[in-house]
Amino acid sequence: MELFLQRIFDGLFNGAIYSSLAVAIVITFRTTGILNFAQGELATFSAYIALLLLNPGSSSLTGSGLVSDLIPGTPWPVPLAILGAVVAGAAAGAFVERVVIRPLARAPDLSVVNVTIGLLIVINAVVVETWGLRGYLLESPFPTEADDYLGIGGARLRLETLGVWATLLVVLALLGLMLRRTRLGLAFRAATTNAESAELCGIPLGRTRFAGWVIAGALGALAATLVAHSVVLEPFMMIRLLIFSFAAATIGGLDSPGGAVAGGIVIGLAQSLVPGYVPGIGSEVSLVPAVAAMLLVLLIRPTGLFGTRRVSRV
Amino acid sequence: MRGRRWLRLMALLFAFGLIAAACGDSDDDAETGGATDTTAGTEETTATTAAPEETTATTMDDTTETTGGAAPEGTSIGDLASIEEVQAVWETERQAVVDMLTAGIESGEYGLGEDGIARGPGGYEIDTSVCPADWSNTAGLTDTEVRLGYTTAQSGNLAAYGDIALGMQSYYNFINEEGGIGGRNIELIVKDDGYVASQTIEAVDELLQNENVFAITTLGSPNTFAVRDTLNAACMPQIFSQTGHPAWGDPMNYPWTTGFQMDYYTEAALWVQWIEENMADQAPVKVGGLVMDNDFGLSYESGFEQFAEGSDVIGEFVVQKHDPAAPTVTNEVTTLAGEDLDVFISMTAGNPCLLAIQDAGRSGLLDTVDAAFTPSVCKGIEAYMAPAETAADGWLIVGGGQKVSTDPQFADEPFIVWEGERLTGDGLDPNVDLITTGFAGFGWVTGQTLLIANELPDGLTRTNLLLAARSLEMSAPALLDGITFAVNGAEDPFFIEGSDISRFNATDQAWIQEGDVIDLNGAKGNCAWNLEISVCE
Repeated sequence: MELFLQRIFDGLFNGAIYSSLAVAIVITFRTTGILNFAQGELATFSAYIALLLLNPGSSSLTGSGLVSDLIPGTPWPVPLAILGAVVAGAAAGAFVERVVIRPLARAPDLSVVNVTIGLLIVINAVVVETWGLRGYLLESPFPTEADDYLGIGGARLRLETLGVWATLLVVLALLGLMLRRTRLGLAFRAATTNAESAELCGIPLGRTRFAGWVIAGALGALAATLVAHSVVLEPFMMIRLLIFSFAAATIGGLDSPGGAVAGGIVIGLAQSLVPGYVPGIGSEVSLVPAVAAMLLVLLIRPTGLFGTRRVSRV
Repeated sequence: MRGRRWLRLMALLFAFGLIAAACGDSDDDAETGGATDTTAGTEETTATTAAPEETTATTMDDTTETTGGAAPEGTSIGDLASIEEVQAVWETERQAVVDMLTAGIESGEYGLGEDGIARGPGGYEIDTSVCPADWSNTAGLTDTEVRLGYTTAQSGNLAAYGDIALGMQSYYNFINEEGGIGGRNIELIVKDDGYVASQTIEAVDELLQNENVFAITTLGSPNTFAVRDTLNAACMPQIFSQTGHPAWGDPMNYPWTTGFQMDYYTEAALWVQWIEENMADQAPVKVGGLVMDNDFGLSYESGFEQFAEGSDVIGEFVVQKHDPAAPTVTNEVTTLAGEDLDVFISMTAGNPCLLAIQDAGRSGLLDTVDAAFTPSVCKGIEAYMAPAETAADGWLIVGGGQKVSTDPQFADEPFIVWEGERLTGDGLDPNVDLITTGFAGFGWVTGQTLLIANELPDGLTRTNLLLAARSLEMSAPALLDGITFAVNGAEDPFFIEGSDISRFNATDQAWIQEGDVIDLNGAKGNCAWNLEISVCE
């Protein structure tokens, strides 16, 4: 029972990691109608900004301590550094939308998706060139020492798990409010449901999509800074997570932030419980439970757990 | 409707089957040199990762080594007063190898004979009569360059290993400034294979066909396996492979391939030995291993299994394998924590080294075991130990005899000081362990070997390069005192067969050696690796 509980807690923690990036992916999809393969790389870039703000004088990071000269008060406390990364993530999202995506406004969605794959490669190369291949441990805003846990039934629920989940739930609540109760949320829905009609109704498509990229960039940055402590910050950090996060988003229905979180939980639990209790499936094949869970959900509910069922006139 | 449901279920089962099949054979592919999997872990070298702040780390496993002969009696190069004295020792040691080989070549005992066979010490032979018709013993040399090919991971999950290339290049910069190899500059041509063996095959094809290289070095066990046959058939030196797999100690079947670092079987044998010496009163001891699921991790596992089999003290060995590409190892460590272990051994590399230490602390595993080992490839303090904070305290390591460059006890040694200056001068961070591994380990040994080969009769040729590599006996700059760095042709193909056993002190952030170093130079027999059953024969 103790081991079972511990596996549940492990699954919840890994689920939180997958969910946090999945939410960012879903927001881009929901607001622009495309899957952004570069979402993880934008997030990685932002996490390095947090690292800079926490270690402004480090010659190996900045070459000259430039950050401490330019930004007052550094090194910043962890929460502020994360805030800085979130702002940087939003700015990076804005930059990419303006410079790369906006010129493709009339291009087919598939072309834009291909461009985001290109962006993934470009941003990754920039990160490698700027900060090198080595890894760093980004400080977590939550307690991470070995004895920072709650003992429940003999199992250990880490405070870090609770912290990441609490943050995720707050973000989810705010997103829900924004999407359902604001004009921006309405514009998002209109823009993805029928872009032409939305434009005819006076909804500024460009600005709406711009806002979507900014929000997704900020969310990705938050995700990366929260989980980097547990997965080690290095240039390929988010590429390792991306496939699981995409699976989580797909399970959730691709256009539901809550669904993405549920999808993350499903995958996290599948990975911790299936190898533990199903003979013949070892944890070394970590993709199997994730992909199997995705297949299972899609076979039963093709629109995902919380996806919007599309109705089209024939 | 019901029919459709069944159809879906069948489709689902079929999909499962496909996934299982796809995942199931990736290791085999890698081992046989086929297509392979990806993943990453490089073995050997360490990974970098993590270190907070600027710092970092140290060396891993591969790195450097040292010595055997030559240095002034009773003195280690760490005790010398200046880098000039260290260089002088190396010059003397190189000359001793040159003299020994030259005498043999002049007497007709060694060297490339008219029968096309190049002979060296210890029964070592390379048959060049089977080389391709257009093969040349001096291909890859131009009037101004010695062109060296190198495949490594600069992308993918274990991309941190790519930093080794920076350190190697920095050492070659030094050699080139000093006049190169007989006037030829070393030109390093690096190809990124992402630690994917199938990409290594492509990269090596490109090096063979388009880059006119003199010798090739490969990083990673699956990667080195994947091209070993090709390179031996092409009569291309595959020198100082950056992996500790025991299979590289097979000069009879693969005369063109050499290893470099302490092999994983030796490390596994020393784990068993430590357990037998220190835990005999607790027999039967239950040991748990966290194994990276690729050739690297599996060689640790099979080595430990074999040595543990003959042990009266070790009662049970349980294993959890982890996907080298997985972002965390939490699930695997939790399962091991539920096994009521006496000893935990991390058999992984790269970021998972740090993650394993963190998770062992958080899961309570550390509270219940009597000993926990981290692998030699994870000796780097700033990269792997420091970030884990108090959870890193008390971990044991069979450390491969490596000096960690950031360890304060070595900071004043002339080589470490000089290395720091050279790296800094090249714009590199001397605190990154993989960079120093490239500099003091692979860059150093390749440079020394080229310098020796160039002084032999007929000068620098591929066969002379191999004769030099198979005859090395030097004071390697990153090895602890007492560890011999020496080979002897086909009789003793392993460069480093010794180790320290150390325990990490988190307060001092240092590896504290326990007892004397263990030097097994010459003790390990050759290893003709059987791919089918994964054992040395």
